[in-house]
Amino acid sequence: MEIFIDLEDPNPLFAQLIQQIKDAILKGDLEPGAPLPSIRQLANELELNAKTVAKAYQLLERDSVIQTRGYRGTFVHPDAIANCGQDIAQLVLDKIGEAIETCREAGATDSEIRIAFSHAMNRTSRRN
Amino acid sequence: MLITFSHFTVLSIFYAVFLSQILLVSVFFPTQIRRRILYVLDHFPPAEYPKLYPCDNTGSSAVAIRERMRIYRFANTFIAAIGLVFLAGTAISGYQPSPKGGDEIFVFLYFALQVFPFLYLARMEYLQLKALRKNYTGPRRADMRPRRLFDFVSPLIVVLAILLYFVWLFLFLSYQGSPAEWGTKVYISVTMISAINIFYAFFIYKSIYGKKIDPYQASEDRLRNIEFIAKSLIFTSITISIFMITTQAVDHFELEIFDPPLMSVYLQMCSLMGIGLILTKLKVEDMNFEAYRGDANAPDGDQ
Repeated sequence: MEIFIDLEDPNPLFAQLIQQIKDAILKGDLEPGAPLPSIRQLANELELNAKTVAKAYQLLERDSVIQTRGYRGTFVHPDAIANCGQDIAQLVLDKIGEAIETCREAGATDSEIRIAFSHAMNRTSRRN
Repeated sequence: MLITFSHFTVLSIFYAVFLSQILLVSVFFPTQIRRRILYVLDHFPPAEYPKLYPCDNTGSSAVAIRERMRIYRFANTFIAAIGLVFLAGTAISGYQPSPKGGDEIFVFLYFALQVFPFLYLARMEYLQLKALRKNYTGPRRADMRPRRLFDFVSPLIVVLAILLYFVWLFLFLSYQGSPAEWGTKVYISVTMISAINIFYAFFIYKSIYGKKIDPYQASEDRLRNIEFIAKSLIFTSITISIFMITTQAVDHFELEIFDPPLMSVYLQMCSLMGIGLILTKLKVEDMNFEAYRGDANAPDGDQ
């Protein structure tokens, strides 16, 4: 099974990688538990920076689409098919959108919402 | 311990082995390689597979390749003739191999001459791959299967290669006496053989995890290519260790008179591990040439 990276595609390279791996899982080309190439192998083969591939793998791992099992390598997550459908970026966008709508309905201006959002982010960052 | 052999036995072995070197390296392999290149030219012509001939898409590059093949055949025939003349000369002049050794240098120098036409081909291939990479504008492709050394070579073979290297090192150093007696020659030998093995290991690593040399190459062909490189270099490493151990034994038993045929057998084995494996493992009939088909001016991704 092969994946393709198009340098002329406006989507970022790591996003192309993520999308193609998810598509391959949904199409059944990559089955749950299937081993994946190492970051170095994939980066060399696609002539990409290893950090780009690492970022794609990191986000896929966060979404439980792939899992790293120490020195044994990286594998497709057993629940990858179900998890591929969940788009965390979209989820965040939806939740923030809902919160903005609620604030606007309460009479807050966009400027107040931005300042409040910034304060909220700083507060959670400090806690983390 | 001294074992004696008649001059007739020694010379018979030398003539048989040297004749085999001439025929294998300057006749058999060049014929097979030439046949292979002409097969590709006949079955995958520039008109239908322009991407395979990146230097020129008008068809004249096929003419140039055929011309180069004629030069290649002539060079090999000439070198084979030199070898036969050398062999005849030694027979007529009543040549007797030196019991102290040293004559193997002539076998080695002749082999170096035999390698020249192969270097000519290697340069041709390098220029073609360079042009292929330069012309390629399609998307970058990657196989999603992980690759590891043991997917291509049995662990037993790898262990054997490592073991033989250490056996040679142990025997060689034991034969040289205490470390205080080691001269520069000992350090040079150990450094050279170790460097060759490290270079092989690095080359195998690069072929497994490194960049694709031919951007059009199908995944299955690439895997076959990696298998060839890994097996070829590991078998060559084994051959080097066996040769070095045998040389040590020959010195120990004062059989240096056999150094020339021994060197010839070693060089033939090395060429079998390289060119012989290409001919058997990388069969041109099994390769996928479809990626090279089509309009060379069209984007590569539109195949």
